[in-house]
Amino acid sequence: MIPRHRLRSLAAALAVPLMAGAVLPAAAQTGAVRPQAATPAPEVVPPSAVPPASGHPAWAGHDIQVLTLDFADVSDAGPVGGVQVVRGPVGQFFDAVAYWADYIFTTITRGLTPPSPETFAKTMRSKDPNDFWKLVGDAGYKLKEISTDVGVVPDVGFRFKYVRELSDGDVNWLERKLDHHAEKFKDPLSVIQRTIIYTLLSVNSSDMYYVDELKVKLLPLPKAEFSLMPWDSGLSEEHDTLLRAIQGKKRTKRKPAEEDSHY
Amino acid sequence: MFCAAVLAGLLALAGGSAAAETAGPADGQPPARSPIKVMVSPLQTRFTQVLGEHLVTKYGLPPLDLSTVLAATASKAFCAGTGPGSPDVIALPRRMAKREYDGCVENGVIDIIELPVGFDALVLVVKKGDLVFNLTPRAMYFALAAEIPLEDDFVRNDVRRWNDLDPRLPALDINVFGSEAGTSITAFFKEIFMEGGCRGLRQFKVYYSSVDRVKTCTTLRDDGRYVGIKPPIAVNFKDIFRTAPKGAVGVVPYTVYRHNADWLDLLPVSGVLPTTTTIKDDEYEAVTPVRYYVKRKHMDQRLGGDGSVHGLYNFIQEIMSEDAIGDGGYLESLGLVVDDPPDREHDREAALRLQPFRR
Repeated sequence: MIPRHRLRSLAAALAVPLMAGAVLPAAAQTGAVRPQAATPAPEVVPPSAVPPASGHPAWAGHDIQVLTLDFADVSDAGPVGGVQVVRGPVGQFFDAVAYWADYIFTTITRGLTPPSPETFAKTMRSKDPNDFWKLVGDAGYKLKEISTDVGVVPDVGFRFKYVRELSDGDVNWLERKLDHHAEKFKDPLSVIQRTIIYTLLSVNSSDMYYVDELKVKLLPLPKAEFSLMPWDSGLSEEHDTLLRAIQGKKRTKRKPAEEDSHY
Repeated sequence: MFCAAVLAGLLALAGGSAAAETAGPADGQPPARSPIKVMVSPLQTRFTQVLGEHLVTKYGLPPLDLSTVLAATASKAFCAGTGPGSPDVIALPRRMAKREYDGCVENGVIDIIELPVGFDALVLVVKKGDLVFNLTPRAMYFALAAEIPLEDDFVRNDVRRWNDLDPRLPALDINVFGSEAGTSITAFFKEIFMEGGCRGLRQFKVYYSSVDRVKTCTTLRDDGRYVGIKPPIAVNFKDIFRTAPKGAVGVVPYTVYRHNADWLDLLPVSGVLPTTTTIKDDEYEAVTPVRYYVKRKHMDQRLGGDGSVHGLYNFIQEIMSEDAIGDGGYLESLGLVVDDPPDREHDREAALRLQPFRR
């Protein structure tokens, strides 16, 4: 059983550094440190001249130098002015916790936030002939949109539009390029990439449908979406209006139902 | 070889013979027809003719029923379906395209045996003693197209000399001798050099329609810079090109060059000289892999067919033999670039095993 007077001494000895550690995390940002006790602030001294422990008896035996700096002094003396601010162990612990919490949060946030569209746009201008984006371009598709979502589950997607019909010569050339690609790149990702291109070629060579849009999503999970359109789909109203304007035809207005009615 | 021996043994046990298919169709079925119906593109005609002669002497089969058509026509007819009206075998100057294969599958032509026989190529040549220089499809396009892009418009092509296109090219008049329009050789030349030359040009990227784009890319100038030689090019090229002006460029199959190598020099295309190595390895641009495709459905019943055609397995045996496609084989002597022995052996075993072709 520890005697009461020893417990009191022990508590006092622990209290000061605990209090110093609690105050220091906030104050340490500005370099200004204000001790809890109402004691006169010591003068600014260079680290080489270490004053002996004095003042409150609780400081006795602890090599802690608590210094108070005015902002004017800081500006005159430079960033720290050669003065060393020493933190207690608890203060250092809280500093470390704050630092690692900030680091982990930043890393997670950066990991959850997809790269900017500019980053992807730069990679898509690669000169590598076997680059997937180049193969998609060779298949007659052009990038129309890059979409990114920031969130707990981020999202990155690319939308390609069919802009160029391929001739038989283009298809033969691309298939030969894919054969070379297959000999050179045998990893699963390359197999998937070639499958996407072969799907485009296969559908577009049919008489019924073509892939009007290709959507490639990288996050949260990679996938490719094919939007098929029939070759003989009708014109939209906008395209119909354009065609009539080119042909010099006026659009026939539909008469109201009452005028048509014979009943 | 071991698999071929096992298969031959099985056939012998079944009462057949590996040397000649003798079994006919089952009772109630029409008799197996012969000859074998083969459709080839012009580049493979000579190979197939000589192969047919060997089938006659070695296996006692009747001469082949051989038709020479464009590759696309042959492929379309082959994939239209099975039965007496459709060809049993076709030869293509390329691998069967995926869309063609899908068409075959749609029409019930599912068991196809692919026979990779070797390679041919379309090469550019000059007479020995003339300057040898590097040409690219882009240069050929700008030299021979009827209209070429200038800024955002197309203008009539009046380029006269090679160095007008690129100062690194020689100061020689542009004179190109190739096959006349409508032949497979010209079609292949237009696909590789003309279409290949205009592919990627900014002015063509705005074209949606492939028909318009191809027409503009591949229409040759009619001011005498390109001279079309009537077929057979193997015969007529020699007489016409010998009297061509200095620096004239010829466009011929590699087989034609090999038979005239004593007075012709090859030109590199995009920095690659066509040799047996660069052709085999597909490094040279204008390579045509020679592939035959056989319908298993028409083969003997013991081989999974309906027994409608006699001699198809013998066809496979002969064309994949070392006598035909081996080093010094009769197809190589005709100018075919044969594959390396290990690859040949692998392809032969797969063919004799009747391994189905997948695309």
